[in-house]
Amino acid sequence: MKKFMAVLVALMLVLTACGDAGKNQGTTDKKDESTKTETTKTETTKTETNAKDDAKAQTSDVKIGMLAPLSGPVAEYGVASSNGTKLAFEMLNSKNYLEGKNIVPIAYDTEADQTKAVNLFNKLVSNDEIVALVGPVISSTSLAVAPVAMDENILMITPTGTHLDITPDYPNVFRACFIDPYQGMLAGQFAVENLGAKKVAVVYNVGSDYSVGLAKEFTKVVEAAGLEITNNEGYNEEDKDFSALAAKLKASAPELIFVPDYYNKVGTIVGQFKAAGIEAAFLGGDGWDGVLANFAKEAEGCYYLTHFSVNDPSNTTSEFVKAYKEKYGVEPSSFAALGYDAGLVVAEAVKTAGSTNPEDLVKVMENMQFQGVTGLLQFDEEGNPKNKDVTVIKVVDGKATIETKIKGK
Amino acid sequence: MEQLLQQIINSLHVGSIYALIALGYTMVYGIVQLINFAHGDILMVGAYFAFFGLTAYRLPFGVSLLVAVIICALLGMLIDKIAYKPLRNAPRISALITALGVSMFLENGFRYLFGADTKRMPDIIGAEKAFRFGSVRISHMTFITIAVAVLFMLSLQLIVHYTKTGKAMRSVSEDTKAAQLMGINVDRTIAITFAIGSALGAVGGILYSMNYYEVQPYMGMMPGLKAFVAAVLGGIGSIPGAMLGGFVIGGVETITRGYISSTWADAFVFGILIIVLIFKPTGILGKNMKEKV
Repeated sequence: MKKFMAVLVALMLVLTACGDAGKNQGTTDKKDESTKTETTKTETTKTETNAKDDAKAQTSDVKIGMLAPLSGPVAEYGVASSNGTKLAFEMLNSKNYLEGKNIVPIAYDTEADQTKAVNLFNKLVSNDEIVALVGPVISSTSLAVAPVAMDENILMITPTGTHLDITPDYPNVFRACFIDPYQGMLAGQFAVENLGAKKVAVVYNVGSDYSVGLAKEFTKVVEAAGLEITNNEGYNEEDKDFSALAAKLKASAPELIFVPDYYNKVGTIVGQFKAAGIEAAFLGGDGWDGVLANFAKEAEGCYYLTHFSVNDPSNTTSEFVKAYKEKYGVEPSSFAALGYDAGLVVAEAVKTAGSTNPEDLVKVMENMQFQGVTGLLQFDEEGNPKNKDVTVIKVVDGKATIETKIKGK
Repeated sequence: MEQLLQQIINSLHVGSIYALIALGYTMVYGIVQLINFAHGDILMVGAYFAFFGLTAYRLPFGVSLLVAVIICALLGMLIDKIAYKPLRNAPRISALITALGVSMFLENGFRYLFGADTKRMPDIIGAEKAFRFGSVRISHMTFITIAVAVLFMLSLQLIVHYTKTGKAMRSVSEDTKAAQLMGINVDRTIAITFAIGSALGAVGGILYSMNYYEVQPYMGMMPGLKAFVAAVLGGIGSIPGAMLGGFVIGGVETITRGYISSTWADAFVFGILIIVLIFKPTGILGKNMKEKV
């Protein structure tokens, strides 16, 4: 009997391992499926572009390489971002922005794989002779391509790679999005200045770099401002039951709870907290984008930070939103907006430099001041956007309304 | 003090779901000495059918629950017939591996059929509604969860102890060969055990998905594992043991989350399993049976 139980424990451990593998695979396929239609659409455009490109390589064309995960685990992000970038080039071409020169995007699918991303980048450089690269979209592939881009001396701008280490070591690498510590910092400032809370609790996912990073920076800012941190609670990725945590938080009665995680998790947490009778305000990061699909009722009255909102009344946004909706039939996400901005900024660099010489392009980028749909793009010495504005959303009547825009610092 | 009361209520709430699921493990183990790892996925199937009943067909809650439970009971019998019955006389490990296979089949089958995205269970009971005693809240959901769980556990006890089928189940679990000689239809009894176990699992799964909103193909994994720990802790094969084990696990988990840290909760739960296996391998209420050689 004892021996049998020992075998059992071993089996159980194996099962846990299997379970995890299975789950990852699951998410992979899910995104795959949900974006299948959109991916097909993108691929058609890609072949068209390539065909046009192969037909005759016009000297007057400016070829911009694009790397994005158009299939695979994060296809949703890749498709949105690359759609945004393509739209940007299309709109610029129709305005004859580069005076006689056409911007020709050449897009390849990285499948979110680092090796593939590097190989495709080399192909872009040696076969397609690109001038600059917009991409890759996610942090891991961006980290892999950045050093190669420096070796090849090609201007690279990743629309959405938020990992801290993508840009600092490579002078020719830039990004359009704000980085995680910056976001955590601004969330802290918003909590201190706008929400006027005195007692704050932080609840974060110990299994996610993103969540931990935001929570850390937020805590730093809030503590420095002299607010009381009533709780600093980590939870596991697998956790579903938050009633015990809710009772614990209720006892210490914070006025604001910071929950930096992705949308479905956040919905579960906030729902259970509210059901337990916690009456605090809730604040989160850009991972909350998408919370309204399943948890509009739970998220009512909550605040979160984001790069971009379709409800922004400013003109550039409206023009972009209209064109995007017309072309792709859906409202643009933050990823689409960042892809769009990255495309615009590269085109602007080519125009300002008046040449396609990489050194000139990088120099122009260093002094760039460009108003994009996600805010003013200007880069610090590490290639990160400086003082980028952050939009704060408040959920009102189940809709994302703009609470305020925080001026970048 | 108020927090402690609240945490005890939370413990009962979480524990009753684990107890319900643990019953399925323990019953099947008691009768065929098989750890049915597919049991966790039965609760996922139950949640899916209840979800479809509530959303796609707009059935009332009770009807959805009943339909889902019946489907799961039939599924449990079907799994037994197709996957386990042919292996009844094979080494135990073969059946165990088959159980893992069935588990993967159900998970991936449901992912293929309905996609891997998390579906949201509608909030029919009203998460906000609660009975208040001072600052202690017993939400309607908690009340219903505990009530339904206790109701099903009591009916199980009645079935096992006061019906002919129950008697047959007990005798098959005691000695299969002797039961067969006494004219008990062993295969039928085993099938019924699977049906009852799966039905209880389905109820557990539906309650789970209503509490935590989600319905997705892999949702059965974690509660399944914890319920298994509960069954082993209580003494696998023992029905009261599984109930006790469920409440103990729920309590340990909740108290750890409430007074130490959420990040330690799972470590404590699985740590308990290891400790129990070292000091009392038969579990709290398990009988020390001699190995049948």
